[in-house]
Amino acid sequence: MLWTIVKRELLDHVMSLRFSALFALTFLLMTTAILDFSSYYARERREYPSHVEGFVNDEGKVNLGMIACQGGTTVRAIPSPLGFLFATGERELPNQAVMALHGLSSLERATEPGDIMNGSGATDWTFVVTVLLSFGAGLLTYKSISGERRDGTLTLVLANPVSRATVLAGKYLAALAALSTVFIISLLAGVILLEMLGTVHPGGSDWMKIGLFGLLSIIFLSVFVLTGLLCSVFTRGPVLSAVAFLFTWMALVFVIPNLGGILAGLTGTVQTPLQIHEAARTIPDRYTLTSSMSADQVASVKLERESAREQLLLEYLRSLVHQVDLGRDLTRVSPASLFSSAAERIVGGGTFRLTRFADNAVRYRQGFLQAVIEADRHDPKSEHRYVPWWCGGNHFSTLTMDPGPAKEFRDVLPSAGEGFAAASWDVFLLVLYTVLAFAVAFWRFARQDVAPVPGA
Amino acid sequence: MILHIVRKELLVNLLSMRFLAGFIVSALMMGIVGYVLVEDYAARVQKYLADVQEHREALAQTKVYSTIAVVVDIPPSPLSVFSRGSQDLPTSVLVSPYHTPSLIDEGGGTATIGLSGTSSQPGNPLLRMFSSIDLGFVISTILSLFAVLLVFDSFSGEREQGTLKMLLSSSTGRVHLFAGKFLGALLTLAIPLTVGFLEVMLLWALHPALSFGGSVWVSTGLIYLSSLMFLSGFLSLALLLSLYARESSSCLMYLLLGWVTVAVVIPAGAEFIADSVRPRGDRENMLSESANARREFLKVYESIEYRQIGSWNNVSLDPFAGESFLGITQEEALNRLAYNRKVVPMKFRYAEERYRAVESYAQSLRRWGRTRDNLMRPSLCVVYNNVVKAIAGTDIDSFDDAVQRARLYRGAMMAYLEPKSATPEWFTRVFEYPDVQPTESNQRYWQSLIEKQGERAVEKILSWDRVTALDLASMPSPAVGAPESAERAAHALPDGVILFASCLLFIALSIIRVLHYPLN
Amino acid sequence: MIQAIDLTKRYEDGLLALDHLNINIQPGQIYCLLGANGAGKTTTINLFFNFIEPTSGKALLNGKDCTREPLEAKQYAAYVSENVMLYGNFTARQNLDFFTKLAGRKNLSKEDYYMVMRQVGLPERAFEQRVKTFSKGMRQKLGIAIAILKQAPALLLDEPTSGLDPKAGAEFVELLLRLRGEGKAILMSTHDIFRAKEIADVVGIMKEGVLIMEKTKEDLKYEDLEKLYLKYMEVS
Repeated sequence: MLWTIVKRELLDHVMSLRFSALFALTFLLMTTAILDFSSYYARERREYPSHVEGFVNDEGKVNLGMIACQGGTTVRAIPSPLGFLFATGERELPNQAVMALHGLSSLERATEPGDIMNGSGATDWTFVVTVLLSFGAGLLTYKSISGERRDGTLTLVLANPVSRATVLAGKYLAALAALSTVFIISLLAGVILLEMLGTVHPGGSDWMKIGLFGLLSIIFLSVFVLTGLLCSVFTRGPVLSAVAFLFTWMALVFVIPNLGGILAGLTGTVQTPLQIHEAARTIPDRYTLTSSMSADQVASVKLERESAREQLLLEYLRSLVHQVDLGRDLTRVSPASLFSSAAERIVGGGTFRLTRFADNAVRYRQGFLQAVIEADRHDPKSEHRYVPWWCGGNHFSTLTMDPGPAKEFRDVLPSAGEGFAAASWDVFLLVLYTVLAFAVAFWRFARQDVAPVPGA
Repeated sequence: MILHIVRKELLVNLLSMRFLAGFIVSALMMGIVGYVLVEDYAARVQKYLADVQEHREALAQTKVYSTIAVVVDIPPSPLSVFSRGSQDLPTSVLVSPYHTPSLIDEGGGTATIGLSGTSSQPGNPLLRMFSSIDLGFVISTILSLFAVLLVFDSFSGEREQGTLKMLLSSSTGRVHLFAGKFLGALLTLAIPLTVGFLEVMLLWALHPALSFGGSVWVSTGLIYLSSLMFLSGFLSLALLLSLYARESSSCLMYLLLGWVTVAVVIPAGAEFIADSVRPRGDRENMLSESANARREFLKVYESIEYRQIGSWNNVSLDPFAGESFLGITQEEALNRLAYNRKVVPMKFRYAEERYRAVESYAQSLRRWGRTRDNLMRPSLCVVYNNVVKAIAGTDIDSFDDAVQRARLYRGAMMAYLEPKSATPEWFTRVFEYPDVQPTESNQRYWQSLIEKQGERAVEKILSWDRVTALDLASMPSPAVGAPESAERAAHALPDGVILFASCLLFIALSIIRVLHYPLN
Repeated sequence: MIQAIDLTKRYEDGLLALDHLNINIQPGQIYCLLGANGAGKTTTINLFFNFIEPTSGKALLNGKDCTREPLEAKQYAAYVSENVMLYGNFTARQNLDFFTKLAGRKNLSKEDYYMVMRQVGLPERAFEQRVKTFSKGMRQKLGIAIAILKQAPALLLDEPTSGLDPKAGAEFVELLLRLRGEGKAILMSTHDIFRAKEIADVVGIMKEGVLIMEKTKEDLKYEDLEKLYLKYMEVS
């Protein structure tokens, strides 16, 4: 019975003009995103990891004595091979870390000449799903109840021994199936295109992420299918349903998610760059040097200062990320925001990725420092005292050695499992929305007079 | 007659739920966005003023002519409330004898999270990941949707209800009916628009730190007018579709699909198509060209022999920047001058050569940008955003203008500086500060000072701090400030014309259609 | 087979559309409901299919309560509305196929559908045509075909002949008589007094939700139904 309804609805969708238009647009946008991304990725990939120089010389060796006093290095974040899924931040947020051996000094965006010409940012699949397909969900469902009610076919259907729940479920499943078909075909085409272009080589975890993203998208779309059905059930005619859906869609997809940035700016204050600068300047006051200190004590105080500076930087970063998250938490009423924050985590992009990159950079620096200190132990001429920004003398070894694997900076993207774990709360909320929306739609439809009131 | 219809349409619109909902949404959005952006503008003005002060002080502290570097700060536009523009645009341009500014110079620290206090943005750099939303965005998305909502069923709906025949059975002409509906809807839309603009003006007036000249108000008026034009374009487009649709609800949905295409799909595809139609110049080529120029320059620079005859002290030398000698003997200064006659013009030339290499790439970027913009022009939203951006002066062209002005200013500056490069003040002020020259008597004195007071005392003597700064009163000062509003309006003209023309086109098409509109 | 017991419906806006209606239609019987617009005829039929819920009373189909067990009850009745609307993008056969499957009948062949369509008098060329090109009469016939294929013992028809041309109307009457011959219970609301007199076994007249007259064919033999109708309309 259910299957009969689903089949008819599906056939109806597939034959309609709106379905073809939706299909064409989705296909076009998703493949364009791939083409655009692959040229961007090829450019970015060239830069990584060529920037992991600086600490070591051309032969890959490090001069232990010089490393403490000579600036540092810049490491570049690995460009995500899945930037086409979720691009937000991929081209805006810092992508390199500047560090000395004893402390991270800043996170920056490597700018290229010509970046200023860039426009409004890249189109990613998250965008296609949140804007275009969510709208498509409404397009397929907005008059499925109200329109049939007006046309009188609904009574003809309900004159048969089918329950209203079955009818509603049939319409829901058919619209979701139609949308999923559009989405999955475009997704597959996109993936095949990606393989054909050959610039990106997704690994096993990446395929997993793409799969999870697809699943997540379908859950998200089911919320919007139900939103369309809700609008259809609660209104008297298709015109009203269309208006109702439009307002809901506008609010959920445009207004609320866009308020995120604004709300983030208004809620929770972060320190300005100048205030942070001031805070960094007071660090020496907290770790004072006195003339009575031994050379070892001086060295350790100086190291403490550097690590305090790094801590300050990381705390600052955390507060910035926290502010952004806070703003986005407030927009979680909208499934569109939920979806994009879940996609951000599953794909491993945005602030989630930035935090991870900072952690990786710090871990790399610490590992390198350990390796250097370890190497110094084997030098009998050294006094084994590492003093930041201090050259010369024999307090530290002046040997040149190969630090081995410690010199390799490997920026590891969060795995699919980690991403999904981080996104589980969002996914749960999305599922909850689906269930709630279906319950409300059913509750309303079950009690509705489906026949037009005589004389009305 | 028209007035009568307009009044009826206006009343119908104003009493509808859609108006109320749309009005609340847009007034709220415009209020919030306006507030945030006015605050943002105030913060950026503060930063700008602090920067100007800092750069002016730094310039006033300059001791020799060769180290003069002028940082031209670009003031934020008060109209950024309407169009925020790219956040990647640098806020200052460096002008020095060794650096000719160009469009694509390294912008200072975008999205930098560090402890050094240098960031072009006052707030949280991570907020860049959110799309920048401004009043232009609110108008081009929310109000345009609102426009669609107001009129999508104005013909098909009346036909469905059967009131259309009733209307036309009276002596109302079809064109009158169209005009009435159009104007009625436009007036309705003008209400949230006007409220939004009033909100912004109120925020401006109430903000304690802001005050504006007349040109800002004129530009605001221009933006208001172009917004009205944009909305009427959208209205007539929606009316046109309503005249072709069989059923009003599907008309709405097709309009929206069209809207998504116009507002979202076209801008998204344009960048990619532009890349394949007219590729950006070869960046690697540009980099290697400027690296070549640098290498060439260094080769010649190093080949010119410098034979030192006198002595100097506290020197700073940089082939790509100025030079300063705190303590230098008379004879050595003359020797240096003779050497500089060969070298300094070369340094100046190198600045120009580097500029040329970069500029040819910038030129290709500009062409690429123009192609991309043209590809996006079928979208009415983009045309409108272009107009607002140009009037507000937050577009790339305005920044480009600022860079060009800075470059022209460099010409004036060089005219002033070039004669100076033939004087010793180019690199030293030795003649009014003889006690730092490493003469024998001086050195004996320093030795005794070190023994008595430590090294610090000598460092103090040898510091540039004690040298009086140059008197730069006669140096031409950069023409800071935003371009005139008339100039900006001229920038906006082409897009304004497109906006106007498409608006007229849609109206004309609708009128033709309305004359042949089937009533059954 | 079709039975209403004190069936009452008051709409949310307070309109009393149906006031304690009692009818009972046996298999092989045609019951015609007459009445002005808004008398409660359509409301009665809507209640049998649970399109709306009764305020009080019961509607029964083959003894099953239409409100409590709507799915079971609906198995026993087929429905033809005043203006049969079908899925315009589908052909006549596709529509028939869909609704028959909904009615719970599977494994019908294309020929079965064609046969029923011939039976109701649809022209051959229309069988595989999209329904949106159909005239009202053709849609109405297709609606009846759907009802026939359901093979339900009861038929509820809501002004099925309104808007049909005279020839189609006559064909329709023939069809109804044949269905009666098959032993179906038929409830038909109509404005058409002459047709009612021609075919009805029982005639009921409704006014403002109340069944104010009920007469069998035998009773009507000696009376002029038209005069009766007008008389009842004037009274009170």
